[in-house]
Amino acid sequence: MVMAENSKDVDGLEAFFAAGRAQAPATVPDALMARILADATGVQAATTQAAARPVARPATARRPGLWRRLSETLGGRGALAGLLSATLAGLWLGFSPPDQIAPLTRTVSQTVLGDNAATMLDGLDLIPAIDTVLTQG
Amino acid sequence: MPYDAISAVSDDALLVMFANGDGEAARMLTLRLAPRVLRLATRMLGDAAEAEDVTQEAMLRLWRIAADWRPGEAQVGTWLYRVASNLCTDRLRRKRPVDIASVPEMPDGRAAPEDDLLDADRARALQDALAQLPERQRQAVILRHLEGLSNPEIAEVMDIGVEAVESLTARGKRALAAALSGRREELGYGHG
Repeated sequence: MVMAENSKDVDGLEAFFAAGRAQAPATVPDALMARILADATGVQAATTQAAARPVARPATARRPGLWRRLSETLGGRGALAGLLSATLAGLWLGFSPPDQIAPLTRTVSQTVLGDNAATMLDGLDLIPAIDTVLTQG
Repeated sequence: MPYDAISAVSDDALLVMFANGDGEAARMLTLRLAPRVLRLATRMLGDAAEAEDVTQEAMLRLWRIAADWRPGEAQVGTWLYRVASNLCTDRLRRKRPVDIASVPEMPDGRAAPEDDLLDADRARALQDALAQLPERQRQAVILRHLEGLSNPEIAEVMDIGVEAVESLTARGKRALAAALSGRREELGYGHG
């Protein structure tokens, strides 16, 4: 297309263009070639180093565990520790009540229920058998 | 990869090879592309040292973009012409107008017999006249008539439409013809 257009050469410029093309260098000077290739080596080295660098693993959102969720629900570690202490204290009192507890219980019962408290308490079944529940509804 | 095999590989593929660490690909791309960039820059700037700097900078930008290059989306050569053209334009806008007497001859590395001397004179006269053109006209004429790019390719390099390219080259050639008309006889075109 260029040649077809140039073949018209209506302005007489094609001879100048031909001379310009003929005088143009086909290669680059050695020193420039060395500079360009040094740049290329530098870019390749930087790219290789970047690729070799360990990539930080993205933080994944893990679902918190049961104890953590329970702790957060109850108000933190302090609240959980308090609840645990109270539970253990209750268990201890249940299994091995101090000697002062029994007279105190009797005194309170008599105050509330009157003189027949002992009888009423003796007949009180705190954990009734399942048969009783089934028969009595 | 042997030289014969690598010389048949496309610019796109060579760039991908370079991005994968192939040093020979860099050498082959430089051999293919750097002379074109150097010619363009020398003609645009009229300064051999500056043209070499532009060539190095344009090639450096090519190395840097290699990892992100998408084969098939653009021609490597066209992209490089565009980068080099922009670098030349930046330099032209920073420096004073070109002094015709300082415009260097295009080095060809050959001993010059008489015909070559005449050719060298013609090439120098052309370079002198090119240096007087507005930079966009100069760029369009160089790419079209000295580098042999098609108008659509030039449009892509210059980021303008094909009609604008045609307009620029036409105006540039008219100005060149006017500038060279007085020298035709002394340069052996007296009867042409």
